[in-house]
Parts: sequence; structure tokens; C-alpha cells
Amino acid sequence: MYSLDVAALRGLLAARRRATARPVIARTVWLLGLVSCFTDISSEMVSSILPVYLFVHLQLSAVQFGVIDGLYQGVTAFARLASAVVADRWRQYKLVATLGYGLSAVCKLGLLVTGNAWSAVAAVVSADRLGKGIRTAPRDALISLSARPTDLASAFGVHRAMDTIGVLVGPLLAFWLLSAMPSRFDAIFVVSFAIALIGIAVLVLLVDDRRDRDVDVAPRFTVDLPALLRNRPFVSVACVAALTSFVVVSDAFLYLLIQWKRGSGAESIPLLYAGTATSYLVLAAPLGRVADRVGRVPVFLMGQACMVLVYAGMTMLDVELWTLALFLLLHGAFYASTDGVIAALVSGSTPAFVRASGLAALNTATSLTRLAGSVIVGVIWSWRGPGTVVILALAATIAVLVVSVFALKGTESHTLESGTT
Amino acid sequence: MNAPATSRVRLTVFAIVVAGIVVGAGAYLYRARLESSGAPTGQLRVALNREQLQAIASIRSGGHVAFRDMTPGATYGRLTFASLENTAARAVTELPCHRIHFSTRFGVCLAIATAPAGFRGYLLDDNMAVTRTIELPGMPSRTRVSRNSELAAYTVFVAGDSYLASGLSTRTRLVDPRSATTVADLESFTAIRDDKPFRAVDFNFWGVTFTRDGKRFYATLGTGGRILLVEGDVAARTLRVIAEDIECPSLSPDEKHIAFKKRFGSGFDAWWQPAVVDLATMTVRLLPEPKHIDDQIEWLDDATILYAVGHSTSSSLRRADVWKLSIDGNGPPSIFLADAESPAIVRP
Repeated sequence: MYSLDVAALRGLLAARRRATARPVIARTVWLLGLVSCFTDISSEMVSSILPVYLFVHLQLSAVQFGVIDGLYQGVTAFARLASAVVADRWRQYKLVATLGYGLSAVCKLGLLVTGNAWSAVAAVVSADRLGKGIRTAPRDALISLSARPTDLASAFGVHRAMDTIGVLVGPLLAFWLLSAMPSRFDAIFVVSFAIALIGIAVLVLLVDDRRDRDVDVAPRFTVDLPALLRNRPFVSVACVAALTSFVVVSDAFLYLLIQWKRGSGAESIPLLYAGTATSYLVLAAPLGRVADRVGRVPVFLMGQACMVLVYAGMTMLDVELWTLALFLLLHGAFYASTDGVIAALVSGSTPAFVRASGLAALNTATSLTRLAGSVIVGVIWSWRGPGTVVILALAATIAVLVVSVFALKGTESHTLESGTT
Repeated sequence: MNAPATSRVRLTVFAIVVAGIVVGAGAYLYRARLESSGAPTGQLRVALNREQLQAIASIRSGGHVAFRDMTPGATYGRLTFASLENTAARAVTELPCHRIHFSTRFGVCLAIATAPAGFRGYLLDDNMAVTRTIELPGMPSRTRVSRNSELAAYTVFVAGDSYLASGLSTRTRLVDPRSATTVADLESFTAIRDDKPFRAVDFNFWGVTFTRDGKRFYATLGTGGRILLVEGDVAARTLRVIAEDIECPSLSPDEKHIAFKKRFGSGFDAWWQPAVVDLATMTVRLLPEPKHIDDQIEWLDDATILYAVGHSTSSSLRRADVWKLSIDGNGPPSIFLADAESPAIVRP
């Protein structure tokens, strides 16, 4: 009797512990977070000083600058999809990701030797972005294949938080180097290259590949697009994500709107950017965990609601210091409750053998709709002014929130049951 | 596969690789640091001691040039003064600047700064103290102070300010050099062409040059791929288009000529050479200087212009010299200041 009770109690306690346990963040996820952290320090070092380098140091003309900047911002959709298909086909996630990281790293050295031959600079900058396109989907696939299906959002949350540390540190490091050694852009490129190399060393030497497990279906050479498209949960999630990035104005526009509201333009854009990044950094991991415990769809919808609040606040409130802080907090919360959570939802709804392809399709869709959204916002801005942009963004975000509620109904229960890893 | 032994081997290799990378990058940084400036970061002190201040005061009591020193080494990138009688004797300050201009009473220094990272404009008074700091909305490009010290102007380049994330635009503002308050953004002025107001969303202004009394100025208006010369009236808040293809003007001390950058070629392969327009007749004369110039031209006197020419093209230290050239076309250009850029001539 006594012993039975103890056993029952133990069982009960163990079950409780299991239910409330902190998510087990796999070693691979931490290590990939570290890789992304180093890589983002490296790439943000260069991208934060690239305009100064091109314009003040090399003294390129506005036309030349425009082409290079356009390439830098441009979408590398094809590379992204192709690398994902290759990674899925041969299950070489780590190898393909390493090639992408390696290409971007070598480009930092490339900037050392191109000098002011602007077409060479343009080529190097494109190759750098190509590397980013190549690495993203296989890296995310590795994360999703390394985490337990029930911890996917937590894993992506931890990864995105570590990634954002790099986004914050990179520009500070670059500007510090530039002021300690004026005009020595070569020093910045060398340090950026070294930091990228450390990231690659972590990836190559410490991260385990995922080619040897969890694949339940024979690999195929092409993305089974029809199969992906027949997969209703995947299609719903991808469409909702694409719609969201279509109606949520880009960071640059949001900051321009804030500056327009505030009138003076006193806040520098880098500071606003750092505000959003800090909020994202702090909230990404906790919100990922909430998504795993409470539900990914509710957290995602909450993220959309954050942007509704931002636009509503901009129509009704003056931008003072506290409202500005609130907007940036909500903007970071939007990213924290959508970016990693969407990756988790897609991972949960695509079988392992097309995991990278599914993630790449999602990224491509969202970046294309974001570009389309920016173009349209630009047209409305110059035609009707920023006031109209805010009102329309508010209305569109509410509409997409309502659509999402219905489109995502039932998605999660399905994905959690049929999670493949 | 992940046996402890393998793990230990991998960790050891990782440690060795990282140590190698850190040592390599450290060595490069150490060498770069030795070769370049030891400019302290984020400080605003202009001069170290009383002797230096006295040397600058003595130089500034006569005709002098303020400029950006570009001698490789500890003084690279800093605000520097030299007497026009002896330009070889340089008085270097501690203030790193990208663009510099001075009147007898005030100075403007546009800089790339840290803590927090960004672009700042520093206003200096006659005692070389930084009296005001302006948060610049973009990269340092041009600056001018009117000769009577009443007004200053700066132009910055803003990347990603246009309606799409990529692209480039300019922001040009007039400021009061005493209080650092913005008198006006040129975009708030009424532009007039053929006696009719005109306006377009792609207006970009740059390169202000003031008249002696600081009541009027000339500047460049870029719109629809065209380059227009505008004449501004500070009190009336108007800009009148007076010519085309005259870029980045610089008014001569006697206010008879405008020196400017003439564009050659187009699109990706464009380059700029110095030219002069006579304001009475509006006739343009191209000057015998085939080298590409970037910054606004300065006047040494009523008949001689100064301009910086860059002569290195790598990601390492950028080098440039200031050249002088007679506007009559008599004689070839010659070096006025070696290892310098952004010259400002001040004559008390």
C-alpha cells in the first residue's frame, strides 16, 4: 500500500515535471545560434559601414552606389530555393549551409582587394548576399530537425535571440574600429572575416549533421511541389506569413513614419533599429516557449495584434518618448512572436525530407510579398502622404489578423499530431 | 559517433583554429593601429594644451586655411590649421573630421562618431571649443559657414531614405552657428522655375555656398535626373532656378564667379572636373584639370580655386592632396597642400 502510493506519487511528479519542464534546447540549436551570432556580427559590421565605405571612402557616384545598394537589398530567391532542394535531396544540410557561410566570409576578404573598381565591389556584394540565400534554409532545417517537435518554437526563439545579439553588436564594433583607426576599412573587413571564420569553425567542427536520422520517406531529386501544395497546413501557414509581410510595412518605412510623426527627425534610424532589436532579442526565447506551451497560432496572432496596436497608436497618439518606447517594444514583440514561430509552424507541417525546401519556399514568399508591399507603400506615400499609409496599414493589418484567425484554425492540432521528427 | 574522445579531439582542434584566427586578426589590427591614427574615441577635445591653442590662435590671426589632415600616422583625419604664409607648418587638433569649413568666428566639423555610433556635426567657436553637437541624419558630405559668420549649412547623404529601402537621397539644412538650431531645411523652401513654383517628390539639394552677407546662397537641386543651379533667399524662403548643369557651386570672394563640378560621361562611368561660370554673362569655362574631383571647390582668392584630388583606391587609408588652379587657365594645376582635403580659406 505504502510502496504503491510512493510509486503513484513518483509517477505523478514525473508527469508533472515533464509537463512543466523547461524545453530541452538541443546542443545543435545552441551551437547554430552561436554560428548565426558570429556571422551576424560579421555581416552587420560590413553592412552598417558599407554606405560610408562606398560613398565617403571610395567616393562612388550616386548611380554606382544605387546599383550596389540595390543588389545588397535584393532578393536572392533563386539561390535560396536551389540550395534548399540540394540540401533536401542529398540530406547535406550542414555541407550546404557551410558553403553559404563560407562564400559570405570570403567576400569580406574580397572587399579588401576590389578597391574602387565599382563593378567588382558590386560582384562581391552580390556574392555575399548569395551566400546568405544559400545558408538560411539548410540552417533552419538543421534547427528544426535537431529540436523535439514539441520544442520547435522554443528552439527557433533561442536561435533568433542569439542571431539578434550579432545584429546589435556588429554596427557598434564597426564604428568603434572606424573611430579608433579612421579610414582603415581594411581593418574592419579583416576583423569581420575573422569573426565569420570563427562562426564557420563552430559549424564545421562542433555541429552534428542531421543526415543520418529521422527520414521516413525516400528522398527525391526535385521539390515535390504538388505534395507541398496539397499539404493544407503548410499552404495556410505560408499564405498567412506572406500576407502578413505584405501588410506590415518594412522597418525602414516604420522608422520614417515615426520620424514623420515626431516632426524633428531627431532620433537617428540606427537608434530606432537598436530599440526594435533589443525588444526582439529579449522576447524571442520566452515567446517561443509560450508558443510551445500554449499554442503557436495564438502567439502568432498576438504578434499581428502588436502591429495593429502600433498603427492604432500612431493614428491616435503623439509620438513622445514613452510612446516611442512602447512602439519599439511592440515592434520587437511582433518579430519575436512571428518570425521563429512561423518557422516552427512550417517545420511542424512539412515532412522531414522536404524540410529545407518548405522553409525556403516560406522565406521566398515572404520576401517577395515584403518587396511588393514596400513598392505599394512607396507609391501611396508619394501619392497621398504618410498619414494615409498609417491608416491603410492599420486597416490591412486588422483584415489580415481576421483572415489569419480563420485560415490557421485547426492547423496546429494537425501539425502537432503529425510532426515527423 | 559522438564519443567523448572524438568530442575532445574536435574541441581541441576548434580551440587551436580559433586561437589561430584571433592571433592572425590581432596581428593585422596591431599593424594597422601602428600605421594609422591614435585618435581617442568619442572625445570632443580639440586641442591638448595651451601651446597648441596659442599656435592655432596665432595662425588664425592672419590669413589661413583650415583642413582635414591626411598624413598617414597619428594625425590622420583631424582638423588642422596652417597659415597661408607657410602652409608647411601645420597645427593639428585632436578632433577627427570628414568635412570642415570655417569663418573668422565659427567652424563646422562633420564627423563619423562612436558612442553612440553615428554621424555628428560639431560647431566650434573662436577658442576652438566644441559649443554644440548636431545629430546628423546621414553621412557627412558638404558644409559651409557664411563669411559674416551669421549662417552655416550642411549636406548629408541618407542611404535608405527613399521610398524603397535602397537608394540614396540628400538632406541639406541651414543652421545658426551660435545655437545649432535648424533655420530651415531646403526642402521647405519654395522652388521657382520660370517664375512659377514647382515641386517634385524627388527633390534633392546639396552644396550650399553663401554670399558674403549670408542673406542669399547658391545650391544644387537634383530632380528627374537633371542638375539645376538655384539661388536661394533666406528671408523669403525661396529658391530660384537660374541655370542647368552647374553642380555643387562655390561662390568666389568677389561674388563674380561660381566654381563648380562639371559632369562628364553618364550613368555608371560619370566623372567630374572643375569649371567656372561668370555670373555676369553666365558663360562657362572648363578648366585644364582632367583629374576627377568629388568635394565642393574652395576659393584661395578671387582668381584661384582649391580642390581635393584623391589618389588611392584601396580599402586601406584613403589619400588625397589639395590642388590649386588659376581660373584664367594660365598654367597647370599644382599641389597646394599635400596629404589634405576639405580646405577652408579664412581671411580676417
